[in-house]
Amino acid sequence: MSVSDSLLQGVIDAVDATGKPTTKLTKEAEGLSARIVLRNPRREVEVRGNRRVKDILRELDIVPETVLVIRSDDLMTADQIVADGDTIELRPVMSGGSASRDRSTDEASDETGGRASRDGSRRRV
Amino acid sequence: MKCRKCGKGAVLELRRHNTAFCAPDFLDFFRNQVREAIRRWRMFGPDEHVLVAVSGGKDSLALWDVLLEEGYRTTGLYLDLGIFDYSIESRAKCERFAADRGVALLVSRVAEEVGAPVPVIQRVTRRPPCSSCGLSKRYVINRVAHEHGFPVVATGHNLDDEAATLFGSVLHWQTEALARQSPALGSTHPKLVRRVKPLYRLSERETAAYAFLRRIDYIVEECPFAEGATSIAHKQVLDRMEAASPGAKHNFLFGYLDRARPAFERAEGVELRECVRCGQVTTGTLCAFCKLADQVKRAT
Repeated sequence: MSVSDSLLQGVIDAVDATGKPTTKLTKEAEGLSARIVLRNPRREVEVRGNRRVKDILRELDIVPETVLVIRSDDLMTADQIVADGDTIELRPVMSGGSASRDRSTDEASDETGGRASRDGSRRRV
Repeated sequence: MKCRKCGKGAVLELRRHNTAFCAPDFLDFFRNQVREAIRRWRMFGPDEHVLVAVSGGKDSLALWDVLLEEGYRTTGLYLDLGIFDYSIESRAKCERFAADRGVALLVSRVAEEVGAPVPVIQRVTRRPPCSSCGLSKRYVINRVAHEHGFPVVATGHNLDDEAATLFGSVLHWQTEALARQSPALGSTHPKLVRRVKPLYRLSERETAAYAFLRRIDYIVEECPFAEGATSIAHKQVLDRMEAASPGAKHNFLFGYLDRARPAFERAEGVELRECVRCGQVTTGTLCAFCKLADQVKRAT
């Protein structure tokens, strides 16, 4: 397990009595100094600061194109430096689950052609 | 990183275009892409009243915002899916957006239309939740648009949505779906309203950046039923390809639209008729929406 995996795992494992994720850092995270806020579910990790955005994303194994990097009210580009003491939000941009089917109002749900998969697409069985 | 247009500090890098923009120039780029989409596919004219289907998410609210900025006459339509706190919050986002801008928002509820909210439909029919949800959305949006006399419905599907749908259709060689995939679907029946996707030239990250820079308050949380959805798995595969080869998604979708789609279009030919019960458009006798409502009624 990489450092980033253990960081994320430590956070994901931390839940309060109601089952909601809490901010509980693993030993690896203690003493590190830039705070990273992740979403869906919301949680936080700390990483070593004074590095470029792209280096932090790589450590966390996050594809840069899948997030907006937000500091205060500004977007950050991959080459910008995250300083010690900074709080950065990594906001996912992916939405989905919708079935994108058009034309008549009912195809893709008509079961005559096969079984619908989770996204509503039709799969032959 | 510098803005390619003005040389000031960039806020967003667009690797597929090998460029970066400051906030004002990115917003210009975004609006230009929407204008180009509307122009190229003749989606609607300046005098047409557009029904914008909104979910409270970044894409549909960004779409509504940019159409308002461009001076189009619009009305929003929110479909309440009845998905716990997610629907309550997303409806509030849409209502606040509309109120802040003084524009009209229509609201329909799946629970009233189908007889039960999406979580109950999923439980009693054992259908995948995205399937019954998608079916309900298509049906209700079209019917509301037709009943209110809107000539066109605009949805917030972006480049990633379209590329993922294309990817899924190709994986299973769904030739009917391939023929239908288009940024603009004309009205092929008097009760079928024209449907357009003005954001199809813009990536998910670009619509998220637009929504953020325009300070649009959208729901960031994911639909609780989206986890494990096939379309998300397809998006993740495409994201990895895009990271390795910027522009892969763009080339995949635009190449299909420009060069491959006409071949599938020629192959398709379905007869559209009206559902014997509700009168909406279907390829069968009883439409799939009425079948779904029957199934829910029997089980509840």
